[in-house]
Amino acid sequence: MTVELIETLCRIPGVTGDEAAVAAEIECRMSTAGCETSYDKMGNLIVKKKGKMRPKTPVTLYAHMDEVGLIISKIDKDGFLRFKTVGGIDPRVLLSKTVFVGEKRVRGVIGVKAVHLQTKEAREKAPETDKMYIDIGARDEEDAKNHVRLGDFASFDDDIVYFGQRRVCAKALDDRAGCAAIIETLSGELLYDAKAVFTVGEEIGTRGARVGAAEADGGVAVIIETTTCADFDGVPENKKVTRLGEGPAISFIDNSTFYDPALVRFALSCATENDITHQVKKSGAGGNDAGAVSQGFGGHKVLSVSMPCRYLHSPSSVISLDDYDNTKRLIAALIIKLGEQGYEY
Amino acid sequence: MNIDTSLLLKLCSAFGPSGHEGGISELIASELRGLADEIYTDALGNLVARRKGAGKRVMLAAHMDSVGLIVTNITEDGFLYCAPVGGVSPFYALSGYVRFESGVRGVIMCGTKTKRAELKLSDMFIDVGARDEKEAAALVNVGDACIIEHEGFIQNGRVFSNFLDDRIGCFVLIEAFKRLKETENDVYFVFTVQEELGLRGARAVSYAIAPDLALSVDVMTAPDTPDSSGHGLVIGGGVGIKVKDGSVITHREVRMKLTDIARECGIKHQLEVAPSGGTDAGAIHVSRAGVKTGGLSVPSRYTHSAGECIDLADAEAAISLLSEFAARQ
Repeated sequence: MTVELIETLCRIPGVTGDEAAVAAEIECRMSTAGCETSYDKMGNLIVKKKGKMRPKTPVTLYAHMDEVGLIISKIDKDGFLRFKTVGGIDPRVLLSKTVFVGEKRVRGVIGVKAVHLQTKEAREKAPETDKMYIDIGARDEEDAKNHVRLGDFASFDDDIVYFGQRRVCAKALDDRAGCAAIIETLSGELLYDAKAVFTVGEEIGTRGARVGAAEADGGVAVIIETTTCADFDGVPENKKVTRLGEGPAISFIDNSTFYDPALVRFALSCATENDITHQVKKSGAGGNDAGAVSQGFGGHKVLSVSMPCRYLHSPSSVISLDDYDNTKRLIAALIIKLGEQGYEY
Repeated sequence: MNIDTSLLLKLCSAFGPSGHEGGISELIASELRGLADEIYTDALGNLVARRKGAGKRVMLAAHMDSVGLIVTNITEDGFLYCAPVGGVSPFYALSGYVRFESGVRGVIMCGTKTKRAELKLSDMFIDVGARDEKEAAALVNVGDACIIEHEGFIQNGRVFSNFLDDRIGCFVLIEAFKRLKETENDVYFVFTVQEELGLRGARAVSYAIAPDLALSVDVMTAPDTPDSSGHGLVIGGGVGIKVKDGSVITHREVRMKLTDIARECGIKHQLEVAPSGGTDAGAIHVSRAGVKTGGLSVPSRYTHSAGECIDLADAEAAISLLSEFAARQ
């Protein structure tokens, strides 16, 4: 199931603001698996699964459905599409990549002046996105407008590559990998009731989660995410945030959240007791839905469990399937431990 | 003036970087247990002490947390790298003495090649006296938080100490509670968490309490030292009644009520119009459908350093004004 599921989810275009197709896919799978599904006004998908027993401390899992991408801001006379980025994208990763534009999934390529035509100065620095354009092969403005409208979203190419040590390279692994791990967990038989919120709008400021936080009431929220790696040669040891293949990373601090140290210890011992390979995130950088969930609606206890992901926010992000499997195991173990023992504060 | 300075210094020396407010919360709770009708802690660790009443819900807030550092990495040689918890200046931090919750101590330094003018916290490390990684790991875990601390003192009516931001606010709340008169108001004395990380505790707790009226008590930097702007609060000039800072423009009604009480009771005060900086009022006033919110400030110098400084007369003025405000209709 894993490989097919990750592939399907990653291939769906779902740039922030355009998550409906991702939500529909998840909703379909979850209702087939016997879950109760609903939406809130933001478009967050809420999924409830009955277990054999009622948990001492209920768990609400969160993963975001949206991905970073582009939005068409102008169609010029020659039929080229100008765009803005949606979410944090390094402009350097965009050059000469292929994209899908709009509902009709029109193919395009991100162009910039060929090297031959550039001045020496221009060649030496990376161009800004406002100097780039998407070429959809249109003859002119009118031809382009037959295929694309202003405000259409463009998403990265949906090629998926499996390579090396059980590694997957694809767009949107942030955070479809998290969505997939939750879907698989809730598809199986559960000892305890569990709930999941698949959020919208994370990449532009955890907007969906601000509303979706209401669902975490009375329990512990566990955010299933991907996070930066920086585990390559030349990066000083103290700047290697996580290492690929060494298991899900549990966060103790990031820009959005200070995690309850006792709850982090609870999660770490849960992983150790169940012999699940794991690591701690060695940096305070980044942020995710945990911030909005922890501060919303009177406040909640939160955890972040993240799969290390190289080249995050690029068309070629990379995770390890071993980390994915261990993330699933950790989610299952946390549901049981919180259900059985509860977490008091 | 009748101020319990030993309690103030005890609050200032308590361990409580953002996210680790348990100890300071316990200390405050022990002071208020006999006074409050109800005391509880919420999911994030905010401490709420309530004097029940049938009238308006009035929320008074001060934050318990201080800035600090958190260990992100232990090197093979046994040094610790860390990330800041809140706004920590590398210049203030350099050569500071650090303490972990476990009691483990250390110093924070930089390498001999590091250019002082380009000092960054990410280049600095903590030395806990470990000979190697194993020895360091026996003392400290990745994820442990520490504070930079120096012993505080009182001289000439002025307090010099780390973490007056915002233990002085906590102190003002405790003392105001002790002096609180009979009132119809339903008063919530709230000691918040994680203010230094972006008013996080206040955001959650103000939703839960849903106050009719709120006030936060914090320090505000006084630019009254050499080579500073001079336009703003002055320490010893009285309690600051906040008009604005970077997080809030206070509600006119609350502001007027505060100045009226101050005039009527002869409490020395000054108006605060701060170009930047923020406090819990910033999160509280936009909670739910909006809350009429004001702010009191104890003017302070050298914010977030180990030698913050306030004038006790300003603290006394803040206590008088706050206890009077809490009891009024």
